[in-house]
This record gives sequence, C-alpha cells and structure tokens, in this order.
Amino acid sequence: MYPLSVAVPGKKYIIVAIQARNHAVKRLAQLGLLKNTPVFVIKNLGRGPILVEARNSKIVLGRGLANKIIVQPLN
Amino acid sequence: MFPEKKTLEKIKIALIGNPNVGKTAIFNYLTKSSQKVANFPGITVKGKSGFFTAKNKKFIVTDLPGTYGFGTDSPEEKVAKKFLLDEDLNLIINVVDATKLERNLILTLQLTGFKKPMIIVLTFADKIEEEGIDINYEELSKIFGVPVIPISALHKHDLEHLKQFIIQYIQSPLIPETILKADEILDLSPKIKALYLYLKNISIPKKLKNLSLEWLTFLVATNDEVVLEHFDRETREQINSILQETDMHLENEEVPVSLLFINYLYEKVQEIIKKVYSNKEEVNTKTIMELIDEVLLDPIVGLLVFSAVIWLTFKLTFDVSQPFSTLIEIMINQVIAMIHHYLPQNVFTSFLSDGLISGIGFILTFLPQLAFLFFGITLLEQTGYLTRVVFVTDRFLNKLGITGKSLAPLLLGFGCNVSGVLATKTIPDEKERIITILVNPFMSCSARLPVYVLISSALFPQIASLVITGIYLGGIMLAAFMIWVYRKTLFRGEQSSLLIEMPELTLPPTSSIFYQIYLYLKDFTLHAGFGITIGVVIIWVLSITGPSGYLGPDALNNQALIQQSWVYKIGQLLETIFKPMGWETPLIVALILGFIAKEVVVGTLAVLYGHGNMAQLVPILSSVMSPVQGIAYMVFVLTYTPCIATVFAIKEELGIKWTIFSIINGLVTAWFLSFLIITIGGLLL
Repeated sequence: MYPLSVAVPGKKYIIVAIQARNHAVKRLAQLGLLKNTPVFVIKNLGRGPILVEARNSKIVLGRGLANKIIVQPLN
Repeated sequence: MFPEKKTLEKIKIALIGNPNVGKTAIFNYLTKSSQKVANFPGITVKGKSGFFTAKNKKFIVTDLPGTYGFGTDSPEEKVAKKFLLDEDLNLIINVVDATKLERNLILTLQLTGFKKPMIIVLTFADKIEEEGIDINYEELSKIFGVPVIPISALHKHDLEHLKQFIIQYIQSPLIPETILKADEILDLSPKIKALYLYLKNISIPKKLKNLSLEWLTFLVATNDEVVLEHFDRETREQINSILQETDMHLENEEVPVSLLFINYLYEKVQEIIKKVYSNKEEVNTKTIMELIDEVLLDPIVGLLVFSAVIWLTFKLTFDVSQPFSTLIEIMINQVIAMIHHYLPQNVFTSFLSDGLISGIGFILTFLPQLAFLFFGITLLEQTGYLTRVVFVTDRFLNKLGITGKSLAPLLLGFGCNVSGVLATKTIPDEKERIITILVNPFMSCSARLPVYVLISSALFPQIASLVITGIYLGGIMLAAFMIWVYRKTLFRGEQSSLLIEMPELTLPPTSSIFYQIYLYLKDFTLHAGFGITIGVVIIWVLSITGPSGYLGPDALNNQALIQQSWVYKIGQLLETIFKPMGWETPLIVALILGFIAKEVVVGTLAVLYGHGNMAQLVPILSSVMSPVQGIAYMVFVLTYTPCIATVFAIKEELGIKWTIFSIINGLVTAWFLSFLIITIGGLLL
C-alpha cells in the first residue's frame, strides 16, 4: 500500500483509502474516484500532475492530492 | 391588417449532463439563431437559453453548466439545482456520454429524484461501436422508465431526429422510475433514517413537493442551502436538531452523508451496468489520439508545442489581422468623408461623424484581431488541447502559487479581462480565485492593443511587432511576479490541488468553431461597444465645450480651441502628477478617459490631435513623445486601473474591498513602473 503519487505508469491499482479532507473526498467521488475503484496510471513523472484512467475516463490529479490517495496494485 | 399574434404554449426544457458530453452541440442545434444570453467565452458557468418553435409551441431550452452530480457545493451544481427546483420544467434532457456510462449514470440516478419528465440522450453512440462496446438501449430504457436515444452529436440527421422526438414526446412524457429505494437508503445511516421519518410527517414546501422523499432527504441531510432555503426557520431548526442528535449515536468517525450516498449510487450503477453493458474486446493497441497525447503531455516537448501554439496565435492576431483592420478603417473613413461632404457643417454632423461613427468605427477596426485571438482560444478548448496544456504547465504554475485551473481564465484575459475575471468561477480554491482575478488585468486585453500598435508604429516603426510582443511578455512576467508576491503575503497557506477530467482529443466541426467565435465577437461588440460609443460621445462633448462655454465642432480640428475644452483642462490638472514622465496633456487625458474602456485611449488621441485615423496620428505622436516616453506610456496603459466593465466584473465576483484594492494597486504600480522606465531610460541614453 502506498500513495498514488508513487504508483508506476502502465500498471493497474485499486484505491484502498483516501486521506483527504471531506471537501476533497467529495470532489474525488464526483469524478468516480472512491474506495475500491480500480485505476490505471497513465502518466507519472515524479513531478507535476498525474494522469490516471478510472471508470473509462481520464483524470488529471495534482501531486498533492495524489499523495493522499492510498492504492494497492491490482493483479 | 396584421394577423393577431397567438400566444404560444411555452415548454421549458433543461439540458443537463457531465462536462464534455456534447450538450452544447445539441443546444446549438436546437436553438440555432435564437440564443439569448451569450455566456462568457470559454466555460459555461451560467446557463444559456434559446428556443425553437414547432406545432404552436415555444420550446425554451436552457443549457445548464456541466455537472457530475449533486454532492458538492460547486457553483455549477448550485446553478443546475436552482434551475431544476425553481422552474416549472416540462422536460429534463439528460445527456450521457455512452463511452463513460458508469460515471454519467450517477447523475442520471440523482435526476430521477426530481420526478420530472425525462429523456436520456446517449452521445458518442458511434464511438462505442468502434470500441467494441455493446449497450442494450431497450433494457436501459426499461430500468429508468424513460426513453433512451443514442446519437452522434456530430451527425445532423441524428440531431434532427432528436428534435422531432422531443416535439412528439412532450405530448405525453414519462416520469422516471423510482430507482433510489427508500429501504436501501434508510439503511445507509441513522441520520438519514431519522430525517426521512421527520420529513414524511411534515408538510413539504411547494417547490420541493415534486421531489421523491428519498432524494429530498439526501439533499437536506447534506445541508444543501439551495434546498434548505425553502423551509421556514422553525422547520430548519428541527432539522438541525435531528442531524445533531443522531450524531451522538455514531461510534466511528463520521463519514459525510454525501459520500455514503455516492457509494450507494455507484453500487446501483454497477447493477445497472451488468444488465446493459458488455465490452467484447479489450482494446490494447494505442490509438492515434493516444500517440498524439504522448507528445502533448511530454514535459519538454509538450511545452515546446504550447509555446509554438501561443506564438502562432499571437502572430495571427497581430500581423495577419492587420490588412483586415486597415480595410475596415478605410471604409469607416469613407463613410465619415461622405458625411462631411453631403451634410452641412454643424454640431449634428460633427456628432454623427466625429462622435458616433468614430466610436463604432474603432470597435470595428479591431474585430479582426479579436477574431483571430478567439479563434486560437476556441481551438484550444474545443479540441480538448487546453487540458493537455494544463497538465504540462501545472508544475510551473504551482511554483508561483496557482494551479492549471487558472490558466484558462488568464488566457481569456488576453481577449477581454471581463471574460477572464468571470471565467474564474470554475476555480475551486477561493484564494487562488482571488489571485487570478487580481492579476487578470495584467493579461493585456485586446482593447489595449490599438494603443500599442499606434505608439509602436509611431516610435519604433521597424520593430513594432517586437515591441508589442515585449509589452505582452512584460505583462505576463508582471502577473507572475504579483502571483508570487500575493502567495507570500496576503494569501499564505496550503495550495489546493488540481483535479480535472481530461476529455478525448477531437477535431471539432468547423461550424462549431466559427459559431463560437461569432458568439464571442457578438458578446464583445455589444458589451464593450456600448461603453466605448458612449465614451467617445462623452469625449466629443467634453471637447467641444469648456469652462468658457460652447466651443463648436471646429474645436476638434483647431489646436487653439481645443485647449479651452474641458477635456484639456482635466488633463492639465493632472500634469503635475505626470511631470516626471513628460507626457503632454492630450496623452494624459487619453489615459483618464481610458478608464471608460481601453479602446477609448486611441479614440481620445484622435479627437485631441484633430485626426480621425491612425495613419495621421502616427507622425504626430512621433513628434510629441520620445521612444522611452512611449514605452513608459505603454507600460502605464498595460498596468493601470482596468476598464469600467472589468471593475464591475471584479466587484461582482469579489465585492467592494478587493475592487478598490485592484484599482489602487493598478494605479500605483503603473505610475511606479513608468517612472522607473523614464529614469532608467534617462540614465542610459
């Protein structure tokens, strides 16, 4: 288990926890990012935002937010 | 005589769906030439309305801002919610992206709670075939209890079919099934259960009566202001006490109701998806669009591409538009000449030619520049490229203190600062929003361009474009500096993070691009044009009258006379402040009147120097200003108070305090920078 910000591009993960404030959690939920949501990491350069695909749409997340989303690799 | 106008029956329709699903394309088709409120360029934050008539009925369609659902208090959601509650809606058209069914249906589920007649329109129906997806439309329709219409928003006959369907359907529309079951929702939390039972037993306010009780409970439980304001104070207090009471019985850390609800919604959506959706093949090969994205999202190449795009847009705006502007100018001058030729020389002729026509003429002459700039911006957003730009620039913007979300409002400022300021509604973080509004005036709006063009042509004939580019870049650097300063001083604290959906890259139809540019130009012309024409007329009045009385229209051509006018006197009063810059009175007067609208600066110079067009102003200017003074002047124009329209926009968004701050900030910075330039210039030369 580790933050999305260190996830490897090209791999699939599942969200296990979101450690952000309610406001951010709601915004994430609106876009379909909740606990148990599978995500596919498209781009992660170690700096700058992260691009993921979840529920068939692509979402850009700032690094700060990605730090608060805890994921686990999906096999 | 004329046939009596029949009062048509009004049918009110709301278009609602996720962002980027194609609502606007549908809206544009349905309402074509009848759109009432032009939204401010770029982002639909306010709704827009239009209509079409058929079968003795007037179908009023409102395009609501794109929204993912009703769980946060974003401005888009508020607008949508208010509309769905406050209007006597006859029909909800829920536009759903067929390729993103899961997330889109979340909104659909929530819409069923409003219990209004509905249609579900599935866009990108053509794409799902390509991707090997199969959706059972009949089953989906059965589940929701309303018609499901698959279309491709690009195909005219699909859109026409939809239009005909709406006309037919409205005669006997269907209300969606209750998919949100009471017993399932009550199980979610004791808070919801207690609230439900309370609401069941009281009398519901009129506007909320239509909602399903389950949906109303959810809205109330999430403290939704838009909904709560319909209850009287007593009821609200009761509700509050229920919500607090059950808090005491919760053992774990409280999970917000909206989150419990969304989890529930996703479970329901999964059930629905299982019944209607099947994906035949797992597409593994990269599409062309994905390969293009690799380039656009690359940290280095992506930025290079963006710089090239910006350079190209500015080149089009400055250079390529020139011949068109000149052509318009020639035509305006012809009109003015004809007026002077055919009409007697008196006040009214002067008013017409030197006041009204001149004013309108100035607006028209830089429409070509605006057209190219808006073309660039429209292309950026409609292709989806703007999100790629946000992705590659976010890192750097973060260092300053803002996110990629501020990029679009800042870019729009180059067209018109009013648009830029209003577009900040989409920035979720309040601090960032205020900062973006405050620095927006430094994004040199197109109204100031004529001033730069005029002065650069006069004082730097060989390198005019270069100088102008320099001014623009200067503005950007100034804005960057101010953002950084604001973050260190007034707006310290944690920065919020970017969170946006990246739409697929598409090539929008040319009709859509041109139609959008037309809307922007129309909006700008009406909006700024009115102000400028009034402004030019005011200058005209102040030029032909003075403390000594009426001077007559000859004042406009007579240097001696004009020095007795009000306009001149005002300038003289302020000369002391501008002494170090050495600008003569007409130049100062132009700045003052530039407060009305920046376009007025050139108009004023024209009137005061007695000539109606740029070609004649150029030699005059080169004789009254040195190159250094010219640069200082342009920097002043870049930096000082934004125009009245922008000031009002800032007041609308932030209130009086920040507006005054913005005005003073502008004036002080402008004076200081011009002074600096004059001083440095004086030392170097």
